[in-house]
Amino acid sequence: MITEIGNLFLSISASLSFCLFSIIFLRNVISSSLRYIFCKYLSSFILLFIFLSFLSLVYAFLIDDFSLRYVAGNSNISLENIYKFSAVWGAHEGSILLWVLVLSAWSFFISVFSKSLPKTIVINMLAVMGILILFFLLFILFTSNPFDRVFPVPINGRDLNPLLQDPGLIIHPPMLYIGYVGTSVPFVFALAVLIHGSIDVKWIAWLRKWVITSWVFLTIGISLGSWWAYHELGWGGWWFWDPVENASFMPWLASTALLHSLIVSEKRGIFINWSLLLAILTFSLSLLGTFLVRSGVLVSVHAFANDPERGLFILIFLTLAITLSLLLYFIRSPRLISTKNYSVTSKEFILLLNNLFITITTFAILLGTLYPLITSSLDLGKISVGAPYFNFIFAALMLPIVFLMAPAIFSSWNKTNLNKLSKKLRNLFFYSIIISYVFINYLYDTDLSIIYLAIFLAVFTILSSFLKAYEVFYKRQVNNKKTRFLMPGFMFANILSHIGIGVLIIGVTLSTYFSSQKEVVMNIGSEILIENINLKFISVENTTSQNYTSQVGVFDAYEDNKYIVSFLPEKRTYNIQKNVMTEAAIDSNLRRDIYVAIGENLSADSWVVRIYYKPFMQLLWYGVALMILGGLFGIFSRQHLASNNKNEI
Amino acid sequence: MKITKNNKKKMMRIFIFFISFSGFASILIYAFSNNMVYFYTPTQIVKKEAPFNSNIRIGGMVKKNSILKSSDSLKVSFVIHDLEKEVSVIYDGILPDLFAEGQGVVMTGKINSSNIFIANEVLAKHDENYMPPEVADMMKNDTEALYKK
Repeated sequence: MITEIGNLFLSISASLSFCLFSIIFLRNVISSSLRYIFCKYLSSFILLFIFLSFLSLVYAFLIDDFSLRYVAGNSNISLENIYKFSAVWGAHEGSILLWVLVLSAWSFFISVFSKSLPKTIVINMLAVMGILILFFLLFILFTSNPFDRVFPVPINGRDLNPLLQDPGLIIHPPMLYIGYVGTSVPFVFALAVLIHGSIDVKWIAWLRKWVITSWVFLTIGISLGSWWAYHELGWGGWWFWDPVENASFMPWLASTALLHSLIVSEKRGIFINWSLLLAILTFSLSLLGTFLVRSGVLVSVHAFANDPERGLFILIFLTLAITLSLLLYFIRSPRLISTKNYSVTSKEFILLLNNLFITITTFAILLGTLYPLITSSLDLGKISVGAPYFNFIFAALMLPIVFLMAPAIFSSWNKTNLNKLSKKLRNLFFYSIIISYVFINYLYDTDLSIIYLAIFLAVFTILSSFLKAYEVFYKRQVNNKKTRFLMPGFMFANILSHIGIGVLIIGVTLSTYFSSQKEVVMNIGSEILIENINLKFISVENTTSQNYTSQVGVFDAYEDNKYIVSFLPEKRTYNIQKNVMTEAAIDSNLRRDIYVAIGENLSADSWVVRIYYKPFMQLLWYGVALMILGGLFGIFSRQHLASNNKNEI
Repeated sequence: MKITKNNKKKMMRIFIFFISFSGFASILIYAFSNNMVYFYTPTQIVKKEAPFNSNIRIGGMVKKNSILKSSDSLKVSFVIHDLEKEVSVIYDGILPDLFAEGQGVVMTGKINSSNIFIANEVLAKHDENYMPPEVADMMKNDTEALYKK
């Protein structure tokens, strides 16, 4: 029954989205206000029906309907209910359904919150959304239908992959998808504008909010994934430059670039062509990511069973989408060119450099991700491009951008007064060198110049952001007593997210370069010293849970002979798939993380134990949180950049 | 006068463009050439096709009864094979949860002068559906080869 209902809803929404798409061809037949109303209704009904089919899949999971192949493959009677729910997007079919659900939700929200845009633009946008939704629905119906049956019906399911049975993984995929799919909004906007043939700066103000929104979700999604890897994979790492991580990171970088170029477009009316191209590229990278993850060309934690048919389907769509949109861009964009002069010292120019560097970094990551695939498919040998490549590229290309943040904050549009700027920056520069030098030397003994450079840049960024915040407060205080505690939301967004980057850099640098790790064989009762922590191995206990049995190590930690905390790392064996999973135990405070994981049981009471001491690891998450907070201010700030006075931003 | 000034500006722009382009390109090429790691099979290593003392990846199946563990440290040695040739491996570190005899593994490390592979990273098959692609390919060929025999 669920199969029929689910398929029915999917087919209805597919035909509705075809209608939505075809509205664009009725320009000369129906009046635009009528088409506008059609579009609005159609997009709400598409969302409704896709949501209903999604609900029926959720229902199938909750009642353990193993007549559905997808449910049988990814769930189990003894699975906890919350994981039955998250198992809906635990494998390929369901996650594509979630993808298209999110896509239809974005298109619904466009139809609701677009009163400031002209109707023709909204119609164009929704029509393009229609074809995107249609493609993904056909993809589901023909190659990856979660409602397919299995016969004979198994008595019990094969269980959800134990790696995915973790709280972090309940919300990581939806967040990531909301962000990932959200890059479709600038894409359809770009196409709508190109079809329309002209652009108004006010529309860019509208678009910028949407880009920030998807950027925020993407940031949350990526950082949750990272947080999960840190806690669950048992290696103490949080970023591996795994191709699938890159697949989500590239759209993030591209939308970061887009955010900055849109500021220039909105404020000065230039870079508009570039912003539109970047919007197209960002969504193309999202699609490419989907192709990489879902086609089976990559094999990693994230990739599910291989199926060449699926890969081909997405590859064809990817090629079509990219070629057609770029074709449209190159035909139509010359109409939109607007040039204004700006000097090399202007904010425009610095933001141009920002875009240049981020785009090249994205390209370099793309190259490193795709090159092994290309050589192996052309039989040129099997190659892997390891983390050192990405680390080097990232540091070499990103640190200059960080250096530009302070000048960017204090520069003005069109032309900056260099005397004033250099005076300000000279002081900041000087103080940052002293602070970072004292800070590092107080804590550590090192002569690695990259550490000094990174910490200096971070401090430089943080100090300049604080100074800017102070200036804005001070100026307001003079101007108006009532609003002196109010700062423009945009300013908050800028300052918070840049401070976040600084904090993140400090966290990454210190936790990478000054972490110590021990991989040892420990007997029960023995002790080990790591940094100033004395770790005592007390015992190993067996526990059982609903769907796994687990061996729990008990470690007591002493700092200066004073008991501080107990660690309970686990080694779980899941009943159905017989997989062994490591659950690390982590104790964190601002100054350090201690990370304990148990490995093999060598003999009766001797175990392999892995211990990490990571200083200032928490700063990494705080930095990301600040960036997200900044993004939220950006979404909810009410003012338009165009109405600001010249020097405020 | 005006034209020459414009020309000068144009020249300047082209010049800056080339400088920055070659700068970026050289960073890319430098990073790329230093960090590419090639994959070899045990057969290729026995034939000495792999370079000594530089980072490579090898993959194969762990031979039955070949795992030797030290009792008081993490040192371990084992033999991997691709059904044709065998290579000995030495590793000092924690083996992945799913490392076992008869399982596929992929390792990064170096070949020493006596043709023993010194691994610094060992990856095992992650679950039934996961296998490093190189091993999957190899195993597929091997099963075909087995059937032929």
